[in-house]
Order: sequence, then structure tokens, then C-alpha cells
Amino acid sequence: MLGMVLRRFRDMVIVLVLVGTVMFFILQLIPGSPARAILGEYATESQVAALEAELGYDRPVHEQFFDWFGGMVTGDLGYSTSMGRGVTEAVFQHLGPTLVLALATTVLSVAIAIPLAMHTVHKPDAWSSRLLMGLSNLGLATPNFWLALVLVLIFAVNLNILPTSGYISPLSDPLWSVWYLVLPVVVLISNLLALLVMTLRESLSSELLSSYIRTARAKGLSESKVQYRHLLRNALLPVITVIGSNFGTLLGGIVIIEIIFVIPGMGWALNNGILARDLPLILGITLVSALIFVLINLLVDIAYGIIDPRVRVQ
Amino acid sequence: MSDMFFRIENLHVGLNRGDSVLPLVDDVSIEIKRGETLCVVGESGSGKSVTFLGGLRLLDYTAPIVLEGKVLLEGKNLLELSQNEMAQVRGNRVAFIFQEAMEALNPAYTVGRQLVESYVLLAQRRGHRDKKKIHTDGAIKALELLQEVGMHEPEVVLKKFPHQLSGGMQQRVMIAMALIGDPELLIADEPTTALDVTIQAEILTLLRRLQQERGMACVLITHDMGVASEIADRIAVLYAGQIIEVGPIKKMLTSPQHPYTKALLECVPRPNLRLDGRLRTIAGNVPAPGQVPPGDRFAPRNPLASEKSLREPPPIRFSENDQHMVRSWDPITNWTPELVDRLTGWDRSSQHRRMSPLDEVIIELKNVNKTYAAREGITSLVRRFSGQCRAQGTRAVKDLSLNIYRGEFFGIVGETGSGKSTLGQLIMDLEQPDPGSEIRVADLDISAKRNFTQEKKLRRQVQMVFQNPQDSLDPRRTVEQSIAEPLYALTDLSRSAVRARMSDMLDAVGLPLSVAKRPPGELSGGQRQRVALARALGPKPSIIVADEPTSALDVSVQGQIVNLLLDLQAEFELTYVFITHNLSLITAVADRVGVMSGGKLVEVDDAETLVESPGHPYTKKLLAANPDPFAEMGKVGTLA
Repeated sequence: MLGMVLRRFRDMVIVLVLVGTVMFFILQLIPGSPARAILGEYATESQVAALEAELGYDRPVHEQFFDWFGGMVTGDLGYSTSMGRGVTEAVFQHLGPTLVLALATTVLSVAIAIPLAMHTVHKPDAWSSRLLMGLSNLGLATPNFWLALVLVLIFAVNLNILPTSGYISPLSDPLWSVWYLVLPVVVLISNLLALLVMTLRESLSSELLSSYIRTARAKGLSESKVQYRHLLRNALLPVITVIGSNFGTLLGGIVIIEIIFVIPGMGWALNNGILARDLPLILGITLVSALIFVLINLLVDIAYGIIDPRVRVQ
Repeated sequence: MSDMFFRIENLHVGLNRGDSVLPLVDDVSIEIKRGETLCVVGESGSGKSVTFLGGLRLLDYTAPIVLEGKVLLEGKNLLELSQNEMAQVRGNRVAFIFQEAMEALNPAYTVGRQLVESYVLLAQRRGHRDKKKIHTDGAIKALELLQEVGMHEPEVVLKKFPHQLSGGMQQRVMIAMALIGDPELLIADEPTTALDVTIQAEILTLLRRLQQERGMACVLITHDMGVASEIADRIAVLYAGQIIEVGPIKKMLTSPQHPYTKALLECVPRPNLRLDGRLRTIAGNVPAPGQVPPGDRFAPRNPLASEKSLREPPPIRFSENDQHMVRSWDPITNWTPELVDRLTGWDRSSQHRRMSPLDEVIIELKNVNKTYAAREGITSLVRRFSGQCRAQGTRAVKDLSLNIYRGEFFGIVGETGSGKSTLGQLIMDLEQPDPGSEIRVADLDISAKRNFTQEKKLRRQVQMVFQNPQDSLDPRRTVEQSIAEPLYALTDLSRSAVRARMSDMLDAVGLPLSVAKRPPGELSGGQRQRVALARALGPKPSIIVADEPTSALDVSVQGQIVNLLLDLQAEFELTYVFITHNLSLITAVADRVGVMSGGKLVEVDDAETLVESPGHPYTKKLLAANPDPFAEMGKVGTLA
């Protein structure tokens, strides 16, 4: 287990270096000068050139790269012109809302998916199961941004029972924060929940036929113990994999949601960074997103090892 | 009647298919006395598991089952109980062990936890409430039971997960788990299938001992008359959902009256005896549920059947003391060799059709080693390249040298982990041997690097048949597509020539052309293995490596496949490498046999010599562990 974790940390470093390098050079291809974006349309060429020189954008690309790379290794991701402070600091300031969204979405999706999937497996012919499967298909097919706008229109604009946008940190005011989180989280859940119900249903129904389930019944266990103690644990494995591999998509979805609901998370900051040609900020956010993704998948592997002893490396 | 504590009366089990009910078990009645062992024998699909697992309500969950009749445990009809009430019977008064304990134990929990779970459940049912005490008691009980089932280090085993144990140990854990509630009846569904013969012998001895010490009744479901002969007090034979004969073991082994019972016995290859010629078989297959013949259900497969038995359902006849029952129009009380020969399709002249091996080496193995590397981390790779250590891992094949001759039927026998399958895959070039090994197959040096043309040439020469045709045939390809695939890949035949070859091959393996368009899922196990054979034969290879080709099949079908192999050998001049764990089978048919143990070839000899005077202690051990249903039989129908 420890060996596995260490190996994954080594892989993580490699991934981050690759992501950083590739992103750095891709961003060089974006047209438009950061200095021009800061100074605005009416600045003269010489003003722009002067600011570029001040920010270091006039130096050869490889020099800029090594500069940035050297900084990254020491934890300094450069200076964000649009935020007016260090990138590392800016990213960490905006990390909170994104993590809250991601965590709430994942935890709620799993918690809701388990009973729903169990239900569809045990009563496959019931109308409720059919409805659930239909809704799952719908959930997968509905684009987030569209659902977000429709829900805002219904619940915030017409019924006026939920706020249209905004964010309050759960740390400062837990109750009010929920008020603001409802709509964004519902939108984000619609996709993940559908995916999880379908995955779990599939794995539950195949595990249900396994021989150890028959053994559990032959032992005289009650059906609910058979289900929750023996079946669910083994059926959760593919779900965990899906959560891990889908985490990137979730982060992508959060960017859109943060823009629509004006939530000051990393996605929102990323959007501002792109508009302002704030290259160090874009790079920093990309890198931190990659870091989160890799860490989540490390957690997935560890969870796998805990749930299924067969994958533990001796 | 007081000792008849478990009794099945007129049990019908059907599968509800909406508008109709498909009958699986048809009017089965049988009783089990306290403390006796009843073996229920029959081919797959005969309804033996369905009778007992269905009767104890374990199939309710997995299929829409319709149960009629009575299953009485001390007068209480189990079919009338709710599943909640049944849960109190199962694990408590009636316990189960299943085949392939690896699958039957939950992979996610330790052995200890699964054992304690059973104990806690029972303790709570019996009204104990002190949770902590129950758990410690459970752990103590688990230790005791593991000791009782013959585990050497029970404390260590408790902490292990099922996958960390060997097959035999897993089955012992299963047995310990079944014993936790001190059951009065133990139902063992094929408990030794997929185990090695030596382990099988140990498990059977263990079951026998436990059953006698505890005075427990035991129902052992098996397809193998050999197993039944080792452990049974009484034997019941099921066919197509009906009990066709029941009796005390001695009577059933030495003078069975139903032809099916006799045929099942005769189909088992004689342990430690060399059979010249073909194996005895039962023609055809068990009829599918819902398609049973009108008369005696076995009659269509019985060359001795009378006209009447083909048309009208036979009566049930009891012996005078009620100990023996047979369902037949004309029970046979005097089996002559001629009758047995006719029944099992055995032809005295067929032995001349065997080809004799030529004096030409076709497979040459010299100092062959194969090491499966342990996980290669960067550090171990660096150390290897800098010469600090050899490849680490398990050596599956060790310094093996062997010549196999053209036209030979060469058997490789060994237990799990002996390296026999690895050897087959090395010959097939599916695995790379360690450097320094020399392997020549059909004049091709396969230890050297080859290009694509040479690879194709090798594949044309050597083909393989695998253990489980269900897994080795692509379920989404029709039979035709499966057979044609290697022909397109390896030969330059035109489309029409491939089609012609395909139908020739189907014909050669005894399948009608009508199966060509069907997926393998619609065929029986024996038919699927014939398809696998046809696919292997298609490119006209000179060598066929067959890895346990019959171990997933019923003994009657096994005979059909082996006979087919013998016929095809003469027809296509084939060399066989036949890998198996079944010593009786291989000594009965192979020209020479190599015995493998721990990656080494410990003995290679003629089949006859091997049986008569085994040289290596391991061979002796294998021979001794072979169950022998004929031990008590006369010489009727034997042919040495």
C-alpha cells in the first residue's frame, strides 16, 4: 500500500511537470498581448511595449519558460496582473468555493445514487424504477448551462424562492450558504447522479448473481444484511472508478456553473484570467486543477485497496 | 419413520416464464435419514442442484421459481415458510457448501470476519445480547472450527482474505462456516469440483469424518460417480428432472438396474487402468427443460431401449425392502459385457484405428525455463541491468527437456501450479521462455526472434483448444465466423474455399451445418468444445495443444470429445499435447504421459508403464488419490 502511494506521488510529479510545460507553450499561441489587455484599446504601441518589457513578456519564450518553471518548482507561480497579487495566493483564495461545489456534488450524488440504484435493481419492473432509469438518461443528456438557466428562471426569477446568483462561504454562515448553493449543486448533481445510478445499477445487478451472495443467504443472513453488507461493498468498486475518472468533467462543469451563478471560485477566476490574458493565472489554475484531479485519483486507488483486498500490492 | 427427518415429497420446480411454467424438476421424492450421506448424481442439467437449492428456497432470489410439493424438515413444510423464517432454518439447521469456494466467499472480508458474522447471527437468534461477548466467543469458535477442518495455523488463516488461500483451504473455510450453527443437514453442491485430485481426496475424507463425528446428515451433489463412490451411503441418480434410481451405495455401484446409472459408471475412465481404443460414452445430451421425451426420459440416448420405453412413461419399482427404487420398464439385473458395450457405444474393433507415432521429433524442448516476473519497479530494473540480480519472480517451468514425436498423443498431467499450462503456452508461443531455453516446434525455432511470416507459419502448424469453450469462443460471433477467422488470418484461401473448409470441419467434428449461423451461447458445452476443435483444425495444423479440453464437461461428453480427438488424429495425422489434471483419463488414452510437479517434469513414460510401475513418489501419490468407483465392482465390462 505505502509503495503504491509513493509510486503515485512520483507519477503525480511527472504529470504536473508535463501539464505545466504543455500548457505554458499552448498559452503562447493565444493571440493578443497581456499588456494590451491591461492598458485597453486606446493605449499607444509604445505604452504597450513598455508594459510588456516591465512584465517580462518581451524576453525570448524559453527564458520566460525557465523562469516560470523555476518559480513553479519552488511554489511561486508568478504574479497575476488581473488579480493584482501572486498567483499562488490568488488561486488559494478562490479554491474554497470550487472545492465546496465539487465535494457537495460528489457526496450528495453518491448518497442519493445508492438507494436509488438498489431500488431499480430490486424492483426492475416497478414504474418507479422505469421512471428513474428514464430520468437518468435525461440527466445525462441535459447540458448543465441550459439546466442552470432554466432553474434560475423558474426558482429564482418566477417563484423567487432561491437567489439567482452569489455565494456565501459555509465557514462564515453555514445556513445561508446552503441557500446559495442549492441551485448550482442541483445542476451539477443532475449529471453525476445519473451517471452513478447507471453505473451502480449495472454493477449491483452483476454482483447480485455472484456466488458469495448465495453463500450469505445460505448462512441465514437477512436480506437487508446480504444487500448492504455483502453486495454493496463489492458493487461500489466501479462507482469509485467513475467518480475518479469523471472528476475532470465535474471540474469543467463547475467552471460554467461558477460563471453563471457568479461564484468566486477557480472557474470564475479562470474566466477572468482568460479575458484579461493573464497567463500566469491561467497556468496556475490549470496546474492546481490537475493537482486536484491527480490527488482525487490517488484517493480512489487507496479506497480501492481498502474495499477490495485483492488489488493490494503485496 | 422417526429417523426420516428430512423429506422431499413430490417436489416440482418450475421456471415462471410469464405465460407458461418451464418444468425443471418433475415430481422428485426422496428422504434423508439422520446421519447418512446421500450422493445425488447426474449430468449437468439433470436438476440435481435445482432440487436441493430450490427446495431450500435459495433460488427464489435469482429466478422466478415456482415450487410445488413438500419439503419437510421434521414435519415442517419449508415451502410454506416466508424467506424470513427460512433465514432461521438456513445456516442453523441446514447449512450449505458450494463449489469454487473462491467465488463463494466474499472477497472483501477476512476469513475471520465471515466466520464470526455467522456466529454472531446465530447467537443473536438464540437470544444472546452481549455484543462484545458474542464477538469474542465467535472468534474462539472460529478458531476451533478451523482447527476441526484441519487448518494448521488457524490464527493466521483468520486474518487472511479468501484470495490469499489455496483452493483446498478456501473449501475448508467454507466447511468451517457451514459448521458454525451445528447443522443437522449439510448440503454440499459439487464441493470438490475444480480441486486437484489429492485435495479432493482430502476434502472428501474431511467431510466423511465430520459427518460421522457430528452425526450430521449430508447431501452431496456431484456429477462424478468417482466422488460418490468415496463418500456415499446411498446414491440417487437424477436425469432430466426425475430421480431414476436410488439405492444403497454397494447396490448402485455393483448392480445398478437403470441403464443410465450403469452408463454413468462405465463412462468414468478406469482409474489406473489403460484402455486401448476409445472411451465409453453416452450418445447425445441431457434433454433441455420442456423438451423431455414422452417415455423413459433416457430412452432416446439408450441403445438398449425398448419400443415401449420410448413411448410410455415407465413405472416406479421398489425392491422388497424398499431400499432400492428404479424408474424403468425393464430394469436390467444381469449386465453382460455385450450389453455394456452396446449401451456405451463401445466397439471392439475401434482400437485398430489408432495411429502409431512416427520416429520423428516434432516438438523439442531443451532446458526450458519460464519465470513470471514479480512487479518490475524502476529500482529492480536498474539492478537487473547493472547485473546485480536475476529476474525475480516465480519459476513456473524449470529446466525442462522433452521430445514429442509426430503422431503422438502426449499427455501432460499435474496439479494446479505445476506449470503444465505454462508449458502448453510455451509450445504455442503464447508465452516467452527465459533466455537460454530452446524450443523447436515443427522445425521452427521459436525461442529465436521471428518475423510475421514465420509467426504465421508457426500458427498454421500449432493450434490450441482451451479448457472452457464458453470463455474461449467469442459470444458475439457465430460458429461460422469463429471457425473462419483463423482461416482468413493464416491461409490464402478464397471466400468460397473458406466456406467449404468450414463445413468440412463442422462435419469432421460431428456437428450439423445448421449450427454455423448460431452463436455459441445456443449450443451445449460439448457442442461448443466441438466448435473450438473445428476452429483449431481449420488451418490444418500438425500439432494441437489441448489445455484441459474436457474438464468443464460431463463425463459422458468427455468421452465423446476424447473419442473425437482420437478419430481426428487418425484422419488428419495430428500430434496432441493433452494437458489435464485427470490422471485416469490421460493414462487411459495417451501414448506417453509426462507428470509435472512444481514446474519440473518428474516422470515421463508410456501410459502403461506409468500405471503399472510408477517411478516417482509424486506419481504414486496421484495414482492413489484417484477416486475409483470400480473398486467394488466385478470384471463386467472391464477391459484392461
